[in-house]
Amino acid sequence: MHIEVQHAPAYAIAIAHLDAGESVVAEGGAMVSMDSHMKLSTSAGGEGDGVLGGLMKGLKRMVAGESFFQNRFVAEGAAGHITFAPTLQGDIAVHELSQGTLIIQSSSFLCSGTGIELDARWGGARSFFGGEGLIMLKATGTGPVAFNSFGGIKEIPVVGDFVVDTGHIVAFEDSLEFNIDSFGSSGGFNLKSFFLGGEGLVCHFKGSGRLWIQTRNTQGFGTLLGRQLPPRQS
Amino acid sequence: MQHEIKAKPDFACLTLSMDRGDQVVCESGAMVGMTTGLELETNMKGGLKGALKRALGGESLFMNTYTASENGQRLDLAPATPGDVEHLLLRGNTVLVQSGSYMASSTGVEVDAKWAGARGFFGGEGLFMLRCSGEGDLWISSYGAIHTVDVQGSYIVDTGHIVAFQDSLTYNVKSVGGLKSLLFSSEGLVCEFSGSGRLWLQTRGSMPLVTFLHPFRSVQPQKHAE
Amino acid sequence: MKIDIESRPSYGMAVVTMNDGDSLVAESGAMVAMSSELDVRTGFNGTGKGGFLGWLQAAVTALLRRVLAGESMFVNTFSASADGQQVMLAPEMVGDVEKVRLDKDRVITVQATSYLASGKQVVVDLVWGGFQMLFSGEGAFFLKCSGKGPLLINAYGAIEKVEVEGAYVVDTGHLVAFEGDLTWRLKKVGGWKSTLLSGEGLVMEFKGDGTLWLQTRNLKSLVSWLIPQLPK
Repeated sequence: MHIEVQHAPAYAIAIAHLDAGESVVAEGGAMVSMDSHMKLSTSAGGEGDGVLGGLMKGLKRMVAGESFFQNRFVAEGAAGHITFAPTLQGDIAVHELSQGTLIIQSSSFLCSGTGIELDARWGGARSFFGGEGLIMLKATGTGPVAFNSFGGIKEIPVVGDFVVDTGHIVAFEDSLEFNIDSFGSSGGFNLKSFFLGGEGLVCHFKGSGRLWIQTRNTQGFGTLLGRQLPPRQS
Repeated sequence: MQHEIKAKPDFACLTLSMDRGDQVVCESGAMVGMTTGLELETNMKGGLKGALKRALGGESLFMNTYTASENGQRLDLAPATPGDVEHLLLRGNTVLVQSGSYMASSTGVEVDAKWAGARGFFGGEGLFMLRCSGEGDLWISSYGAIHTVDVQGSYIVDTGHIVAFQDSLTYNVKSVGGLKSLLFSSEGLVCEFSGSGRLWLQTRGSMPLVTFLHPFRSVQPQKHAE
Repeated sequence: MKIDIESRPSYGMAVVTMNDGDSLVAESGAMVAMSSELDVRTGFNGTGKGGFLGWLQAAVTALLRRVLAGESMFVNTFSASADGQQVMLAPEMVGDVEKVRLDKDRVITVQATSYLASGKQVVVDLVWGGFQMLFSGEGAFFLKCSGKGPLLINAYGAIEKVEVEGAYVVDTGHLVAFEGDLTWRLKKVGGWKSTLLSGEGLVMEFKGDGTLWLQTRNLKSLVSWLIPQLPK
């Protein structure tokens, strides 16, 4: 299987080209179009998971903000393709995993080959301050993984110390150490900067490894636009 | 009348160069800027009854017609959605266009919103399909980039991603239903196209955006029965 | 200080590489990422002369800016203590970011919501657009920027520059900034029927010689497109 990205960088879509019998795993609500012979199977776990194993995985994913079900599309009987789009505007990057682990911010996961194992985990947010904790998916195995950004994607090779607003994190390699803190904490905690600086939580990355950031953040955009819309009933 | 589409495909906008007597019809609220030799006339779409029906759907009721009273005029138009603008030349053929994607047309193009199959492509009352036919220019816009597919045989599309298609294609809107409907941004409505013809898709759907924005909207205070 | 703008025109982000002693002021919420050694101070979006009265003046200015112009009440000042320290800034709305270099004699008037960041020597004054602007649907305040140094502006949509030679009419929701020997007034587009029903409202007619920065989208139209599709 290979994943092709088109219409990057502003409104990218990912086209998964499958050989007969091959399948692709995708985030719910993402399908744009597909060949008519593509079949979809929806299950809680992945291949090889028992009922309980599947249920646990499904629950973990739900907690991570992903849909409960792992949505699997199969090219039945013949080669075919299926096109996926993320929820918001922006770019898509495809990463070929063979060794190592990729940590992907939960709403950035789009689709992956079946050789990729996905596991949801908490990012160690400081729940004392509330707000956005970092919920992430751990991807290991072999094959392609596609993740999307809200806005543009910028790949940063981290060497040393780097600070990123948590809302702008897309993915990073497991070789990086990270620590979530409040804004303005470089040089001691700065209460004023935390509450008034408008940044909320930031992530300090240390060590060396690749980091992908997005040039827009969903909370800021949602709040700005949500304010302009009429109230809802529930 | 000359046209130029700038800032494609990200935030595309349309610039029209008009000479005396040239006319263009466009969606309300589409004007970005213009030179001073253009006259604007606003009319209700489809007469009073049609307009009232649309008002119930929350859609804008009016269409604007810009006429150049002098030579060398410039009119800049932009759609409401972030995304692309595409130009289609109609030569007596018919194209079906999603209502939110209609941007502007020259006066030789007839835009019909009341044909039999107009509703039924999309859940809810928000969007419907327009029938555009005649001779002239048609400009369509998209949410996201425009992805062109030349259908040969059959093809399944999430209806929330349909911008326009040639009427040489036969279509069948189906509800996927059940748990599987969660996979589709259009709430489970897909359209199976067959035959041969061109299909214009947009790479983003409005329903996922609407769902994303839901928690960001303020909640209406509840009225309790005492 | 070097400023590169990436991801143009849809999701513009300014990558600012500073030298020792450089400083940049940005509206709150704009930081995407930065070198951890960069110094950050949060202060009021307003200036005062010093002492308690100065602090009060700054606080009141900031409050007015928030209430009247929709600007952020607080700003962050990023200062570098060594060469090569970086900060990346982006607005909340999708769209373009552009940098303008201000120098003596150059005055740029910017829509309040389009201000993103500026150098410490750039003077940003809140100006009243006149009573007519209250009817423009866009807010009656502008920011007059002058001084010396970089100014970063953002837009919803792509930024298109239009040179005005004589006269040009602009939908108020699409105006980002303007400079030059220009006067403007609000006027009706078409007759009264068109003004009320066309979706355009009142428009701005610019006369003279100068440059307009326009954005290729406007927030009101996006909201109108969304509203019929929203669930109750």
